[in-house]
Amino acid sequence: MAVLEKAAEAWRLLNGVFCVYKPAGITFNSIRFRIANKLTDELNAMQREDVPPLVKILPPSPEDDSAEFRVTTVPDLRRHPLVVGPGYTKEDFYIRHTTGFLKEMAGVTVVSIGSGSPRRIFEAITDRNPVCTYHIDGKFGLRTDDYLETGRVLEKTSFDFVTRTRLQKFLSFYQARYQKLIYQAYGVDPQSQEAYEMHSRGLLRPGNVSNPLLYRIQCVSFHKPYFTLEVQCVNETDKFLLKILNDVAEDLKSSAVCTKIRRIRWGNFTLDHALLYKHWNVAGIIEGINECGPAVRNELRLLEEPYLTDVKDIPQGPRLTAGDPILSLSASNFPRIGT
Amino acid sequence: MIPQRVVSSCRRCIHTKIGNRPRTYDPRFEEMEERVFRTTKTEPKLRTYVWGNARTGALAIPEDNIRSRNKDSPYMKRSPVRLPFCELTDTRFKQTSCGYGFTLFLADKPDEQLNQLFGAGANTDGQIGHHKHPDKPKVAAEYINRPLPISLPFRNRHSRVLEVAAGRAHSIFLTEEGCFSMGNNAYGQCGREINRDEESSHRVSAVTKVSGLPKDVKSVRCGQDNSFFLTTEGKVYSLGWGADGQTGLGHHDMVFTPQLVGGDIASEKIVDLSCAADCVLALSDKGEVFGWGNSEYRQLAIITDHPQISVPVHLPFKLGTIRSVSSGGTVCGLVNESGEVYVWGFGLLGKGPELTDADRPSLLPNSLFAAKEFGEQNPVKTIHCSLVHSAVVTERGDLFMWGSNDSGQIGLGHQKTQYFPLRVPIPSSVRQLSLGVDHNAAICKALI
Repeated sequence: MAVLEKAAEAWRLLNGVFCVYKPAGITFNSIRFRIANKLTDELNAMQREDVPPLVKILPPSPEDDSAEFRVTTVPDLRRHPLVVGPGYTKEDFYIRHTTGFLKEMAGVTVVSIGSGSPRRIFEAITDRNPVCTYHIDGKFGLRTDDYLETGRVLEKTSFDFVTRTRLQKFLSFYQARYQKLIYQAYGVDPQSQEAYEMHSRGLLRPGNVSNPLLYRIQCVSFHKPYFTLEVQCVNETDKFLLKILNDVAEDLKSSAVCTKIRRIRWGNFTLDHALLYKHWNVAGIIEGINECGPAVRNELRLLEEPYLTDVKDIPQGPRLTAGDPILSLSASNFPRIGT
Repeated sequence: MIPQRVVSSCRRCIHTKIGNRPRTYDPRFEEMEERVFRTTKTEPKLRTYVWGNARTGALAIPEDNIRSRNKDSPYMKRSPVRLPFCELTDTRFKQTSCGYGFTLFLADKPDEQLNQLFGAGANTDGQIGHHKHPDKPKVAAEYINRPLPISLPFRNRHSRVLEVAAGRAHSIFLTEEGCFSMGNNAYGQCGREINRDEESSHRVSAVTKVSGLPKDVKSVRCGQDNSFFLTTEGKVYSLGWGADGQTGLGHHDMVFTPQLVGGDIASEKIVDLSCAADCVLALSDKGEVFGWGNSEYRQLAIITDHPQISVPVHLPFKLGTIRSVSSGGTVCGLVNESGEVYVWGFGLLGKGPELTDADRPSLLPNSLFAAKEFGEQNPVKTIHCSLVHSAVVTERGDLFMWGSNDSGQIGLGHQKTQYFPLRVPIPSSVRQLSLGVDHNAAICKALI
């Protein structure tokens, strides 16, 4: 296995798309500064490129007897580290990454490094709005002003009556309602041949930015008061994800705050590809670029597939209304023992 | 803390009340009972979901509950609901079978529990036994809207029921003491002599022990008016109606004693068999498909143009090893080893409204069942076809359904016909599914 010693070789390999696991608590914008700083430090510590010595042709000196020109080599001081400064600065790195979320959110974030084809690939795959999967951890019993656990507490609620069964029931209703919404968004009759053709091509997905659309929502862990929702959606915002948690809890006649939120999948990029913070260095990123190769190729392949781009507005997500039959499904409607 | 003692049986259901009830009314007791109910209510891993037409009580949910929840359509459940009976009585069903308007439930049988077999729905021919009307003790019940225990005449009361199967108006039970049958015997499907004067009603329910079967019967299946018995050696015995040759015995007569089916399956080991109406498909251990019976909708067109075949024939599909096969009323389907679904026949095949008939198996695109976006694999495990609707269950336990939806049996929350498979919102992973003519039941495992 070849060992990278020269900074220039490493610089050449630092070109491509990879993904990192953003820890909670740092802002998205700081990802690129952190990566750039780390890479700069590491590349500057590596072996610099050999500077060829400067060839000097000296004229024959009058003191010397021979009347010949002399060729000598002297060290090239123009390119000496003390003259030109460090070999790499953080401005040399052209880094792009997905952003636009709260700093409390953790998880898979796609990063591109390099200004040539990596930049174009990154722009192409982010323009497509891939489907993302999130794990949202919630806690019953509180409501805060910003839906987060750290926010200002507005009310406390009871949650004894919340059961796993009822939670899952509401989630499956949510999912079913959004499934209907997809057809509504496309203006396609679900009972038509066109709907089948669209469906058999793959996931129905709006092409341009519009309201969020939810494909799948399920509860993956439930230990009262803590629970975790897995949400698969597109065009999402952080507020949308937090609102889902809040709405689900409100429909259960309780309230909940978000304790953790993390993205476990961004298109074809999964947690397996994501680099931990400790691996945000030259060796880790070069390996990450190699490992993400298949995922990038899958994303590029999907670009060629047609999808509808003329969807203007997806209607707002469904809210259960007071007259909804599901809301009458309280525990009191269950046949009780001995009544 | 709470004395756990059975004090009386419930008036409305068969479950028993636990605890001491004070003589005078005490609101604190109500509160306590409510709390006990909530906290001790087990959330079992295995759950039963039902949906579809509830007019006959086949969903085993008391009618008034359905009416109160769904005012616009009082007699159906258009999306899957959990059977409250299981939670209230701590009964875990391991198999269900849906017939024409009735459902059979088979529970795990811990030693102390005597009731293992339950039935609900239409009892017009005594197919779920003789039961008193829950509200009128002197009247026999024709329609039963809650699971009532079915008792079989066992020699040893600890004998267990192994499998149940439901037909149009008869039921077959495979037990440790042999096979029993109940219900309509107009075509000999119950395995007793056909008697034209026999009264077939809910007031009379004759339990027959099917005689003439080998001891190693492994599995039972019901068609519309016929019954099949599979042995561990892979032999098939059949009886009942044979007008379309669905008994596979080489003639079109009715048979009331089980007879060994010959033809191409004589030298094969049959592991699965499917029949919803009158076309039969059988699957051998080598993954090959055999068929007989009705071919009016060109279900068997690959080997014949005749509308009926009365002898099993090999269907040379060349689609790899077949893992699951199903024959509905007009639609047939199969799943091969790579999890691909093929459908053929006539009607709602699941490929949009334009494709209504296919002589040869036609592939349902796999992208209907898995998100192609992620290169995700969600291979299909089994296919189930009924008269007008069909379903597939994937390895992950996702349920996809399509077909006619008059009674909400697709489970999508509406009554419009669904022309291609769409995921049914069940918040659990489906383990065993049974499709009736207009209602369904599924045994599911909790996701968490």
